[in-house]
Amino acid sequence: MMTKAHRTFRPIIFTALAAGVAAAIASLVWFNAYAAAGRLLTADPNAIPADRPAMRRAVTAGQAVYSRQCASCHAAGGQGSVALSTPALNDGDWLYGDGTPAEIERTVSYGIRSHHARSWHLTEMPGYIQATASGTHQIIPLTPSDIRDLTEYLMKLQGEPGDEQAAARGQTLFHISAGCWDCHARDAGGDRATGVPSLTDKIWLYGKGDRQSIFDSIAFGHAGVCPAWIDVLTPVEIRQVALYVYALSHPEDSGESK
Amino acid sequence: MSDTPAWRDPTQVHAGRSLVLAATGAVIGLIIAGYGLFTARGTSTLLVPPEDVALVNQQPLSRVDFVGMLKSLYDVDLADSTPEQRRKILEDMIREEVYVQRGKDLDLASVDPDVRGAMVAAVEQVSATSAITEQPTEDKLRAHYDANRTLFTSAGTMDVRDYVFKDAAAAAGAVTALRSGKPADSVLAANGGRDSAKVSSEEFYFAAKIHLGDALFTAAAAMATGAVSEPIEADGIHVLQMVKNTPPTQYTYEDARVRVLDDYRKKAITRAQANMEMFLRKRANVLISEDLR
Repeated sequence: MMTKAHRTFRPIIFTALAAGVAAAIASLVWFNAYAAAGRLLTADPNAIPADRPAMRRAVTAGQAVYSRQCASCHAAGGQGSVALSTPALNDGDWLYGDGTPAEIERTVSYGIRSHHARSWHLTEMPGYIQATASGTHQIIPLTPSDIRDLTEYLMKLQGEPGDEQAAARGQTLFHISAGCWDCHARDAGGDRATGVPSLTDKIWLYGKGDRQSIFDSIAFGHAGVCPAWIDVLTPVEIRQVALYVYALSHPEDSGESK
Repeated sequence: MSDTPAWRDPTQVHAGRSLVLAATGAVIGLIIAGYGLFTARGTSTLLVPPEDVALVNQQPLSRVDFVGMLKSLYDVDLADSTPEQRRKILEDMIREEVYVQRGKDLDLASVDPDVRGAMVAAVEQVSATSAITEQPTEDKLRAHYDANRTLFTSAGTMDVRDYVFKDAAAAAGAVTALRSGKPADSVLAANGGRDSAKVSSEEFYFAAKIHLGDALFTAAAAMATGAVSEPIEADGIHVLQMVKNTPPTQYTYEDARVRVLDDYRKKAITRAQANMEMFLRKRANVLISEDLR
């Protein structure tokens, strides 16, 4: 026999129980997500690709971050853009470091020439047709014929036919007076520790490797920029997007089943 | 009809409803408090956030920096590092942080010129960072290109000879002779002139301008290949003979886009830094000594 008190309190108790269960479930979901984020952040970033379930979750979440913040420059699939002079992120060719998740994470966090104190900013391609080509280094401006000779030398490094005599003069300029070797290395292979590109691999960030674009690069210089995202994205988002970018050039490590 | 207060009637007191609302409020409060406790920055806590490796007086030491230093110093990943390596990096980071905090306590910025200089540079960088993070739209870039078209050209080059004469009559005679196609050497010998040798081969405009000076360069830039100028008075009487002039050509927006973006960013940084300075000056209470007002 149901009493009046029962009738009064039964809906209250049910409602309270339902609210409690909902709150408990919400707390569990939140705590689970929080714990997963904690595990992702405390793990060695370079070891995460080997953890397939964790990698899959991170890549899925990172893709959303990438679409929101990175795709406008680096293109939706990470193939970069010749028009925007943004590097491909899916080809395994890295300007800064060896493309490990930790190095990508650092680049995402602090950027490249972003003016953040911890960004990559050790080098900058000077424009050789200015009286003061560099604010920090004593770099002598070049004449038009110097730049044409250097261009021929770089074309030769690509295996392209051209003016051999000009290329020989360009080689001398490269290794002596123009000082190109100082950043690009004696073998013109570049330096990933400072973000200096190889000039021998037919991968061009500015233009398509034709004479005019090489001439303009030497003449006007370059200083590409990637913003620092450390104050825009959360630490978890930064790690997720770094892992997604890593997976672009390592599809076998994307966490998907083989 | 029952005289029990209706559950849904807010005009009547209902004990059960009050209980449920109080319980719901308590649960919501606990959730908010818990969320705030675990996620708020600057909150005093005993938990080290997962993105950090340590807290020094609640100041976080970033895990990204920790992993980066392991790589820089020992060329190892976190997983491959030894406990000794990790301890060394962590100790270094903690040492730096406590010294920085002590530096703040000692107010080194007031007395140490190096610290002051570093702080000025750092604040300038902070304002530049925000300018760089904001990506301009294509419309903005195109408008910037349209407003600054002269900046986005190829590099002009010229190969020009500069002859100097003692007087205007000799220069006028040389102009006539050069225009008739006589060799420069004989014309100079006949009119008592000399080659200044300020420009001896093809040069970019900027270099020719430095070598010739503004007046002669302005005249030279307007000359066609093969032309001989009228006598020009500029610290002596000069006659220019243009061997080859290749004026700058306008780049299309598409061809110049990288330079447009670069220039846009540089100007955005300058603007951001100027705005920052204006804001700081506006906010500051600056009193200037009477004798310097």
